Amino acid sequence: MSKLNRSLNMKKFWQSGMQTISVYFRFLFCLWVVSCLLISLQACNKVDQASEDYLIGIINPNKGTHDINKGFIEGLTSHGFVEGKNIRYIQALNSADLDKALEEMLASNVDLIFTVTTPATKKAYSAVKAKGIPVVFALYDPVSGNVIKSLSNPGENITGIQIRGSVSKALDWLLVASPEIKNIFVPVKFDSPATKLSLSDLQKAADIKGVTLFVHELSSPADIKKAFEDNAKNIDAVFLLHSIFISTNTEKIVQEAMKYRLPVGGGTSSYTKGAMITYGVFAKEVGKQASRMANLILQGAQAGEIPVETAEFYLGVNMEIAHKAGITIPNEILVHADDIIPYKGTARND
Amino acid sequence: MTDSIRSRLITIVISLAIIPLLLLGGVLIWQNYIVDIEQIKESQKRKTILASENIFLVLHEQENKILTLLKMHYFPDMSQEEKRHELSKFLSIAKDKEHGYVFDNLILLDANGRESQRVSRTHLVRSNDIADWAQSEQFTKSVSTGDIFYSHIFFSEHTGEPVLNMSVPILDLRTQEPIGVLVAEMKLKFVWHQITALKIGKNGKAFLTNENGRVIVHPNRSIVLKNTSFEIPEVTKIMQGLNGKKSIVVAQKITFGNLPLFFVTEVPTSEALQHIYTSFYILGAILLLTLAASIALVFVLMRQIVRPLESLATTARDISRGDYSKKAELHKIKEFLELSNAFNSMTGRLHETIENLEGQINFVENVIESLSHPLYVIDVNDYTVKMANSAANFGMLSSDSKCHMLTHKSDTPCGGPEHPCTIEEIKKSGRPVMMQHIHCDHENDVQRIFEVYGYPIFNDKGEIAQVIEYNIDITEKKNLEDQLRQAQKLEAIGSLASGVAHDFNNLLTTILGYGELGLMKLAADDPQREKIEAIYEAGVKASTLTRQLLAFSRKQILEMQVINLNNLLENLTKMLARMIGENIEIRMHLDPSAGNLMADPGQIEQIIMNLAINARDAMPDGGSITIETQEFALDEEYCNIHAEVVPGTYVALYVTDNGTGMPPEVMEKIFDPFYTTKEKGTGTGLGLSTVYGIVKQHKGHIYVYSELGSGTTFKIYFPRIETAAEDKIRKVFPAMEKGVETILVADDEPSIRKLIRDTLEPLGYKIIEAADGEEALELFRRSECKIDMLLTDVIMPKMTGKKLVEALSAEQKEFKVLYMSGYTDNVIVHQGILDENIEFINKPLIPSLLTKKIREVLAK
Repeated sequence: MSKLNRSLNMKKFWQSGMQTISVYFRFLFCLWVVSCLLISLQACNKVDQASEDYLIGIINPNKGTHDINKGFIEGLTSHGFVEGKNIRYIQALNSADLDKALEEMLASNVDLIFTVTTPATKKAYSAVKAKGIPVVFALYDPVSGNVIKSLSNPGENITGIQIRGSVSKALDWLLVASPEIKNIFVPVKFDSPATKLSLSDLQKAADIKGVTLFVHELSSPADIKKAFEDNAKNIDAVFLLHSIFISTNTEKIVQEAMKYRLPVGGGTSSYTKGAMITYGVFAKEVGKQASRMANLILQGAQAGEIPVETAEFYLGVNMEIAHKAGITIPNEILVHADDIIPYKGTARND
Repeated sequence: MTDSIRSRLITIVISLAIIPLLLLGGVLIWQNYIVDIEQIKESQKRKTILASENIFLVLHEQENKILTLLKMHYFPDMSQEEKRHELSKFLSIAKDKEHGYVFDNLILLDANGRESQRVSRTHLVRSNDIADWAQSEQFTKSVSTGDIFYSHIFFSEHTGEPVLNMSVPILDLRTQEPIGVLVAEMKLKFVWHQITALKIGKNGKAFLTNENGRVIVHPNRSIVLKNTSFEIPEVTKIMQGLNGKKSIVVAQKITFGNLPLFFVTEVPTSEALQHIYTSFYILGAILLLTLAASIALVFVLMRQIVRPLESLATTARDISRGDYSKKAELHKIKEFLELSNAFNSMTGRLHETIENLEGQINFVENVIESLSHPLYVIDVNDYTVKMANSAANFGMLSSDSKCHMLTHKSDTPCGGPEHPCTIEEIKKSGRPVMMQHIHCDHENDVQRIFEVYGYPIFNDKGEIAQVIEYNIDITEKKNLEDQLRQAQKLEAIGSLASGVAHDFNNLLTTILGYGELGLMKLAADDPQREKIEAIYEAGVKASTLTRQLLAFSRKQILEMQVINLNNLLENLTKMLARMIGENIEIRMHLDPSAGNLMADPGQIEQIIMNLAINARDAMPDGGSITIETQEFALDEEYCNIHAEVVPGTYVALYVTDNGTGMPPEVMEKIFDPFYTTKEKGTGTGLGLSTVYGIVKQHKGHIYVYSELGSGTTFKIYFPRIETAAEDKIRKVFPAMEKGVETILVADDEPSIRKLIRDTLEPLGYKIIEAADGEEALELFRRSECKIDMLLTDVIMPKMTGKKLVEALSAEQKEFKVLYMSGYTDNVIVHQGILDENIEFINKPLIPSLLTKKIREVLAK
């Protein structure tokens, strides 16, 4: 066979090879199209995961209840929102910073705002309403506090947790703990609608129980000492109401009360800060409860369609303070107590 | 619509392979689906029953707690404080798995249904607001049945949460009669935790509703708080679930004592039927793969079958576009190889044939285009021009290109004597025809005469299909012919006239000669004188006539000299003005560069006078005559359309009047002798014919242009010469001088000889007469005395005057010769011009002029 013939054969071989390859390519292309179809169909079936980066605003000007924020963040973490990973928070924890923080939140276009206290909620909601940013609140009574109209259908873009309902029982527990109490000192500052509402709740309970309330309005921490000095000789106990000022200055009030060995009760969970016996919400639990709602909203639910929930109340007893106040808490109470801060002094040695 | 192999193959593959496969797959999927769905429903039903039992147990556990409390404490025996204490203690210990409180309030009723004790976890209980439950179902039902009674589920005003009152009768230990009831307010909220913990598939949910479908327990408490209702399906079915998605919903009724509840589970179909979908996808994928494989297979087959065909089609298209170099590809498959080979050989043959045809067409086209005259082919039926050469100048042909339109701009076919239709003629005869046809030359808007040669083209049936027309423009030829005919006519008339004039002159010589001699002899007062004078005058008039005839026939002898036409015209102006009268204006436009010509000035004057008179007669009411001169070059082109004209420089003379003008039929005869339009007696009819003769004798050309009503222009062209004009001064000789010389007179006309003798002898001359040349020669030889002069006629029988002179010259060296003639026959004159050194006198002889001339010649 001549050289030319061989080269011709090579050429033919090459051409037929190329033809086969191009047929293969077509076949592979068809396979690719089919697999793409299958993959896309499968993908459609999968539930979308929360992979977005969320920005949440937290406004809580009440320094005494910062555990709510913690509970809220923890709750969201348990729902899969890990701070720094797929969620970020802007926190405003001071009433002075409120306006500035709100501006920042609006500018950053936050996905949701969690507010604590009625004034903060009202302020925040009126600011973000137009922009359609959902608000989740934790406050005393949203209906009476004129935040919303209906609990089961809050409407618009707001929902949250109400914490009203523990004050009367809290007074009851204080009286069970120390039945001799007849005159109760109630320091107040009307810095929130909650204060007035809780005071009225307390007043009703006091009427039932036949005790007298000594309501004393304070304007600054400096007034506390004077208030006690003025009232100490007429009173048997102190009751802490829902007020930002009171909540913030609980320690100071307790400190003053201790000077006169006055037992302190309250409708909050301030037993951790020196109140002797309180019946009210646990801040962290409230935060967690609110985080469940926030999760629903972030998943796409309309805030206004989520009914307002009521927080659970817990009985908390501070044995340390009871001891200091010279009061022996009956066993009946201790059996009921959800949390007891134990007395670690000489009592243990008995 | 044409089907391609490709689409057919695909159709076949789809109908034979894919459709059955799809049908099979569809049936399988459907079967699977039916079976699977039942299984899934069944499975979910089972799960639901299990889960509902769990919930039932959770509720039952709370019931048990209350029962246990009642077993442990016999309340009827206890003090109020003890009751309060125990009940309160129970409130705080009765918690659920998640340490949530289950009961908020416990109310102890006595046998009459009155509250004996009430403890609340949430509310402050007033000692004085003890309610009466005697009429309440809670009390009556419980007491009457002795069994636990459950109230309807109601919702807390404050929290919106569902609450249930459980009434447990307290029996007298001995009589087993109901002596009281413990009402426990159970917060159903605690079941929320339980139900959240229940896992129904991945995204499935379980919830609890009351008998009306009002949701009381749901993993999402918001749904409960929102006062949501759900339509409980009677059987397991696929419907819109509470989750908003299509779900498989199973409802299981739990009867909790007297309280019916519904435990509902819902699993989204997307999840429940996932494995059905998966199997569907797999089946679908297999089907698609099969489809893809089939299509791929079709493509492979296509490559084998369609590609060679497409390649062949492409090659065929290329070839049809004219690329004969294209060859069909040779393929491995035998059938295609044969097809390609056959195709290639066909293309080769085709190419060869086309080339041959093209060559022939080119040749024919070349031939047709080389014809410098218009040639075209016309359809006999619709007169459309099917083909034309470029000489036809038809431009692009279309279906509207009718022959009459292109040649005449006429909408109707040709007809009539001027435009006979060739096609019609050929149709009549079926043979080639030739006819004259006037076509319109659209560019110059003049009519041109064509000789049209028509040839029929026959179709297969022998009918005339088309006609070939070959058109030769004969306009110039026809004009030349007309001019030639005119010239020939005038020539013939001239010959006749000159013959008559010759004889006439001889006769006139006698009349005039003897008239003059007679008059000389008569005394002034002789009574005969008047009569002879009349004879003489008639002779003179007749002599003028003959001279004019000779002039017309160009037989008169010209005395040629170089003249300047402008000078001549200037000298003539006064006389002309006098002649034509005052009411006609003469305008002269003389071009100084008009130049000189060789001419007989008397004859040129004659021309101008005749033309002026002619112009005057054309303007009876006055007008103007314009006489112009100019130098004029007649070129080849001009000569081609004017017969006889030789190219060169000419002196042009134009005589124009603005008179009546002439119709063409007059113009045709204007130069004929004796043709006149004037009244009888006013004109001779020789004026313009004389002009014509003189012009022609001067080798000039004359043309007339006339338009009726506008006037007439005569254009005369004389050959221009460069020689300067000479001014001959005519010598004046004294009348009838005497002489002694011997003169030999040779003339065949005896009367002429006699007149000469009678004239000269009295003057002292010696005359010897000879009747012809031979006699003259004889007499000359015999003469004793020396002959001083030979006076001879130019044309004589036997021997012409010239021959005679030549013969005599041989005999005697010195003698003078004077020729005389009525006209010349090129013997001594050529074209009317005398040879050198020849003396000549015109007949009729006039004695005084004759003697003058004789003396002149002898004096030389």
